[in-house]
Amino acid sequence: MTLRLRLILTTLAAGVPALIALWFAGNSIRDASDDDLFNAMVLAHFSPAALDACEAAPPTARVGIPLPALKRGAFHAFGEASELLVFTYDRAGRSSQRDALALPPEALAEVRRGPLGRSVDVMIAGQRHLLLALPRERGPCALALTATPRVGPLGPPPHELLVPLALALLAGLVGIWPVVRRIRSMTLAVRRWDQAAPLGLPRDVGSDELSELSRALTDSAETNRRQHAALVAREKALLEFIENTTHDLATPLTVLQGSLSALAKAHSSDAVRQAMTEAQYLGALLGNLAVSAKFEAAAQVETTLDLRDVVSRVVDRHRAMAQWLGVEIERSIPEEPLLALGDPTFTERALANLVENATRHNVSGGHVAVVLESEGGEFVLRVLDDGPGLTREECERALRWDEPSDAARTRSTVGGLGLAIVARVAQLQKWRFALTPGESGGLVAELRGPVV
Amino acid sequence: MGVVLLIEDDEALGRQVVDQLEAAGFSTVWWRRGRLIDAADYREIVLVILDLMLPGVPGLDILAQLRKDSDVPVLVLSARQDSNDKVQALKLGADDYVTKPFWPEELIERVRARLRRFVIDRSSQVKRGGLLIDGGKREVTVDGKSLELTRAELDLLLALAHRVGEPVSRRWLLANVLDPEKEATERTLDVHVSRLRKKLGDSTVIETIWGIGYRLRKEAE
Repeated sequence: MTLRLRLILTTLAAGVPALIALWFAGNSIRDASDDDLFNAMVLAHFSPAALDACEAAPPTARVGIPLPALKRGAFHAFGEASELLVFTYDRAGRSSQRDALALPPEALAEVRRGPLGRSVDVMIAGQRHLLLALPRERGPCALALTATPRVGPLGPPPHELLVPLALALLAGLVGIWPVVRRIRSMTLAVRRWDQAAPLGLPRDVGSDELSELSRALTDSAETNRRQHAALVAREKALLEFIENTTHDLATPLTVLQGSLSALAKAHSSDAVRQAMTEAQYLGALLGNLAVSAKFEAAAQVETTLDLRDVVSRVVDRHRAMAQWLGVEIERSIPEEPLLALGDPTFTERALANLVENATRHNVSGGHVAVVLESEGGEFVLRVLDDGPGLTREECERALRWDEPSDAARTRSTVGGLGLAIVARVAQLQKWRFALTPGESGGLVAELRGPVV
Repeated sequence: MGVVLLIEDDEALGRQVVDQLEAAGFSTVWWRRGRLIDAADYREIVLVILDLMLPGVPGLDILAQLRKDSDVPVLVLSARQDSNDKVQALKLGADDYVTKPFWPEELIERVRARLRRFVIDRSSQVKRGGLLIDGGKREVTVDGKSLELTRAELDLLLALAHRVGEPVSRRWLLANVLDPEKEATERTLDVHVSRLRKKLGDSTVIETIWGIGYRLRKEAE
């Protein structure tokens, strides 16, 4: 069954009984209103003077109570009559009108029980009439009965209509619930969906619109999953390629550096020093490329680092370069371990870039100091140099890792990829990185972060 | 002194490292394939330089096996820029790692640092020529004669001697050695160091390290 047909049938199954019940309810309410109006009209007509006149001269014909134009048609049950006709009776049910209808004994009993001024429904010869007790205990005008039978109400009283209404509502729920359940199940499946896995909806072989939607969602999710898997595989392949390439280059570059170092000891010349500088640069580039690839792949490893070891390794790595450039490099680390959370490769690379810049862009006879200290629950790692330094503008530009400048492509300028990587590492590891001109020239690069 | 064991499969690099270590005064044994280290080998080995990517037994497996029976220092060589390798190696008990590419001086310095720890930790005395600084007795003598030092001068010298060969920052000295109520300014620190140098009779004993502070030079090895 299609969804459209199901919705139509459910609407009919629930709506039609509800409409009928409401129609009956409306009629009942109108009837109740008619009763009140009838009571008011009759009581108004049979004033004490009218009752006295009735007792003095009991009517022999139906009593007509004129209806004001405003009230005509107000008696829905009696049509558009211009007057309301009633029979009058005494308390025993006897009437002075020859054609008066005989009152059933139960009706007399009921009207006597009820309060004055409140009419009761009376069935006479299968037809409904209203019987009202007038405010006179004796005499021929103690009761008044509608001469014209009333039509309605059709159906039971309002309170008895609650049951069919409830049934209509239940029919609606039963009809629509399977649809809601299926829509909810699809919604849950979509919300929980992990791109790397299938959607998790059972294969729906039905023929209605929801089944079509379920199949369309499942197919779309499968396409998405395959594309996602392909993307992940491509990223993994790229990362592996970069790792393998850097790995393959690392050992021959180490051999090259060793040969150059031996050559420098034997023949110290500008050419050899230049070659050593380029080899150092290649090594740094290799490290920076590998780290950049890991940024893209979100391949950060968080572990507890003793920053003293990081400082020692990095400074030792750069002693050779510092020596052949005529720059003095020293480091200061605390006696006790100074622990922080971070990725070892990222952290070393960041510090290496700072030390590399401080050393490479210094002058012969210059100094580089790497100082690691603890301050107020944080570690402070500073790289100070007395080289040419940077202007405040250059410091700010270097800190924007997401806007690689043209300087990144010309390694002769300070900044570029190295400082961008430092800024990115600091951002990833929730550290703070600052570059400020030194008080008496040079540059101070500072990394700060919480200790563990 | 014992031998340094190098386990490295690359012929050119292995040859180079052996030459560099021996030039620096270390006896070296070189394995070209990964294999487990026997207990019999432990006696002579004072340090292991271990490449991770090896034919035969992988470097991490050698490390794990070694650590079951020995505390000999292990310095790992890694060509991969992968933090997982480094973290794994340190967890298995490696003492340090050097990432390729490296300069020979860097490797030698790391080797010395690993071996030096034993020397420094076992002695509370620092000797340099005729100068003897005894941290345990809080005494300083030059050629056998006791040196008259103020409390601040003695505290400064002992603090530097405790970390002989290592630069100690001015900030640390001010915060931990000098009396903050009386003396903790950079100017007074410089004055104390200047007086100390005069009393020691040798201005080279205490070096000024630019950007950091001071260092007590260790006796040349």
